[in-house]
Amino acid sequence: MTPRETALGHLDLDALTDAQADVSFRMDEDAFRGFYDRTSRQLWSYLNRLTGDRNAADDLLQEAYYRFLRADAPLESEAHRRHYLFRIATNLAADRQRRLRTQPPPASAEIDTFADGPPAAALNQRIDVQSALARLGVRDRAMLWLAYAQGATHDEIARVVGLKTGSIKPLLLRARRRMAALLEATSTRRAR
Amino acid sequence: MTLTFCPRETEALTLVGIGQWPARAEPELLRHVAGCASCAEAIEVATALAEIEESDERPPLPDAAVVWQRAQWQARHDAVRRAARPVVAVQAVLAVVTVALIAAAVTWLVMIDAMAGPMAALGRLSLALSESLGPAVVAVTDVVRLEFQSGPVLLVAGAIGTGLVALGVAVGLAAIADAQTLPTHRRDSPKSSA
Repeated sequence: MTPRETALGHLDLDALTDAQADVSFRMDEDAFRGFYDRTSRQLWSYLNRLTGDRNAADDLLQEAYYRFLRADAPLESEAHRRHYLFRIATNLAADRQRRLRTQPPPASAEIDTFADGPPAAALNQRIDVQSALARLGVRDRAMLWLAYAQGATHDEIARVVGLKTGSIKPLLLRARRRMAALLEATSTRRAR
Repeated sequence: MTLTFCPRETEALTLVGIGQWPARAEPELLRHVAGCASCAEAIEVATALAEIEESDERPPLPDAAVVWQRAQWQARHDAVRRAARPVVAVQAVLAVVTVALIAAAVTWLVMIDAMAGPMAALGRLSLALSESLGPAVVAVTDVVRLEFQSGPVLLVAGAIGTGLVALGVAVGLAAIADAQTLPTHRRDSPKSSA
C-alpha cells in the first residue's frame, strides 16, 4: 500500500494503529468472515437486480460491507445484522439510481455473455424479466426481489427498505401488479 | 381495483421457491390458482424472478479477508482525511489572506508610483496658491494633501477588511465541505432497531 499525500504531508496509513485511526469494528475478522460467507452471494444477487449492472453490484457489495463494519450499531442477532446490511445495500443502490436518473438503467450488461448459453426462449424470457425490472423503481425492485426471490416476510422487507410493516402490503401489491403488466406487455410484443 | 393478497398465495409461492411448481401442487390448489387472479399474478412474478435468480451467473466474489482488509484500509483513509480537514481549512484561510495582502501591497505600490507626479504637482500648486491667494486656500490644499497622504493607511485598512471577508468565506466553505463529507451511518440505521 502506498503512502497517501495529504495536507499533513506523507502519511503511511498502515503505520497508524487501529486506535489512532479509529477503525475498531464491532465485529472481529473471524465473525465477519462467517457473516460474509453466509450473506455475500444473496447480497450480490440483490444488488445485481437493483442496479441491473454486474460491475456496480461488485462495487456496491464491498461498499455495503464497509459501511456495515463502520456502523457502530448494536446488532444482536444474525437476522438483525442481515437486515441492516441489506438496508445499507438498498440505500446505496437508491443513491446510485438517483445519480444516474438522467440515464435509463441498463437492461442488462450481462446479456451478451449468454450468447452461447441457454436456448433462445430462455434467453428471451430472461431479457423480458430484466427489462421489466429495469422499468421499476429501486424500491419496487427491492421489495419484489426480497419477497419473491428471497422469500422475505413483510416485516423483513420493511426493515430492509426502511418503511413500516403496514405499508409493505399495498406497496408490494402495486409493484407486483406493475411487474406482471410489464411482463405481459413484453411477451405480447415479442409474440407479434 | 382492490389490492389484496389471496390467503392461498403462500402455499403456491412455497412451491415456486423450491422449484416444485406446479409439479407437486395439489389438484385443488391448481384449480384455485386457475381461478384466482391474485395467485396467478403472484406465481407469474415469482416464477420469473426465481428463473433469473437460478440462471444468474455470479462472478467469483472477493474473499472475506480481502473485503476486511479493504474496509480496514478505507477506515484509516477516512480517519486521516477527517484529521486533516481542519488543517486544510486553516491552510486555505492563510492562503486567501496572503493573496489579499499581496494584492493590496502591489496596488499601493502602483498607486504611490502613479501619484508621485500628481502629488508633486499638487504640492507645487498649493505652494503657489498659498503664496498668491492666502491662508484660506492653504487650508483647502492641506485637506487634499492629507487625503493623498492617508491613502496607504486606507489601503492597509482595505486589505485587512478584504482578509477578514476572505477568512469568513473560507471558514464558511470549510464548514460546508465538512457537512457534505460527514459519514452516512445515521442514514443507514434501520428505523426500527431490535
